Amino acid sequence: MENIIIKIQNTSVSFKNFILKPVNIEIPEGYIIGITGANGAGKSTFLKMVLGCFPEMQGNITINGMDIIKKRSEILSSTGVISEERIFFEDEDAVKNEEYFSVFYKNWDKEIYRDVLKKMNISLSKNIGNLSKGERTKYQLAFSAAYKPELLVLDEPVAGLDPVFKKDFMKILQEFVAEFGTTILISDNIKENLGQIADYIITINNGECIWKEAF
Amino acid sequence: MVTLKQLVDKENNEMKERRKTETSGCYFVFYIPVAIYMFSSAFWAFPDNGDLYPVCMIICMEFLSVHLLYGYIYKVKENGKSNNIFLKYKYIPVDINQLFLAKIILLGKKLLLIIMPAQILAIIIRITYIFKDSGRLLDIPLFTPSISGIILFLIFSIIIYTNKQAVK
Repeated sequence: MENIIIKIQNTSVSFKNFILKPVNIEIPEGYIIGITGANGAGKSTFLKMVLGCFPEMQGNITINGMDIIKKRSEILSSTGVISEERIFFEDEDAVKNEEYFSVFYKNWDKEIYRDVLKKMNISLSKNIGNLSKGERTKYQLAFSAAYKPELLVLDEPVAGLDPVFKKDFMKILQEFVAEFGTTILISDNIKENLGQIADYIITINNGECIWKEAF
Repeated sequence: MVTLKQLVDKENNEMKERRKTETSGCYFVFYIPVAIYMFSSAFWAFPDNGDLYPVCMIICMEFLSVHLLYGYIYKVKENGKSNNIFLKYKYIPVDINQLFLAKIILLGKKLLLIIMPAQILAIIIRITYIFKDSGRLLDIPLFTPSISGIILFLIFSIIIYTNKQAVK
C-alpha cells in the first residue's frame, strides 16, 4: 500500500476575484505530480495553498501527518521550493546565502550543496542576482538538494526557457527522485512538458482540480 | 529548530555582515550622528527646558541615524533598491513571528546601547547642576533620552511589523 505524503481534505481558498474550489486529494510518496492549467487557472494558488501560504484557507492539509498551518516551519525544513517568489540575498553569492540560511535546516549537507552546484555549473562566487533565469532555477534546485527534501514544489520552473534546458531540467528532476526519493509537485501551463515525467496530473480549470493518471 | 537566542545572535551577525558589504565598510561614519544625538539629548537635562521643538529635532535626527546604522535589521539594499528582508524568509523553515520577535529584541538592544549612555550623562548633568544651583532633581526633560528612545522603538517596531505582515 502506498504511503500518502500529502492529504488535502476539503480545502479551498477564496480571494476577491478568484476561488479555488474545495479539493480532496491524496498524493502518494515518491511520485512526480504535474499540475497543469491555463494562465490564471489557479496552479500557483494551489501550490501556495499546499505550502501553507494561506492561513485563512478552509479545510485541512497535512504533509507527513503534520498540519501545514500549525507546523509550517517544521514541514518547510524538509520541503524544497522552486519559484520566482523564492528570493535569496541577491547581492551575495552561493557561499554567503548558505551561511545565512543553512542554520535553519537540520539536514543541511554542505558537500551535497557544493557538489550539485558544481554539477550544474553554477559558480560559488557569482552573486545570485547576476544568475540567468535558467541558472537561478538550477541554483534553487541545488539549494533544495542540500537538505535532502522529502517534498519538492516547483512553480513553473521552465517557463520562458528553451526546449533544450527544459529537457535537461526534467531529466535532472527524475534523477532527483531516484537519488532522494522525493515527491515532486511541478506546475506548467503546457501539459506536454509534464507528460514526459509526471506519474499523475492535476488539471486545474477555473479553480476546480481534477486528478488523474498521466498519459 | 533554532531558539530565539540563536536567532537574535544570527540576526545580529548577519546584520553586521550585510551592513559592511552594503556600505563598503563605511558604516562607521553613521556613528557620528548617533554620538551627536547622545550628547544633544543628554544636554536636555538642564532644568527649565520646556521647549519641545528641539526635542522633536533630536528624535528626527535619532530616527535617521538609527535607520542608517541599524536599518539592516528590517531591510536589504539590492540593485539600488531597499527590499523587505522578511520576503527572503517566505519559504525558509522559520516561524515568521519568532523572526519578528528576534528582530524587535535586536532593535531594542541596539537602541539601549545608544539611550543608556545618553540617559546616564543626562542624570550626571542634572546632579551636577543641582549641586551647583538648587532645583528639581526629577522632571520630564531629564528623561528626554529615554522618552525619545521609547518613541523610536515604537516607530521602528511598527515598520518591522508592517514588513512582516507583507509576507503572504
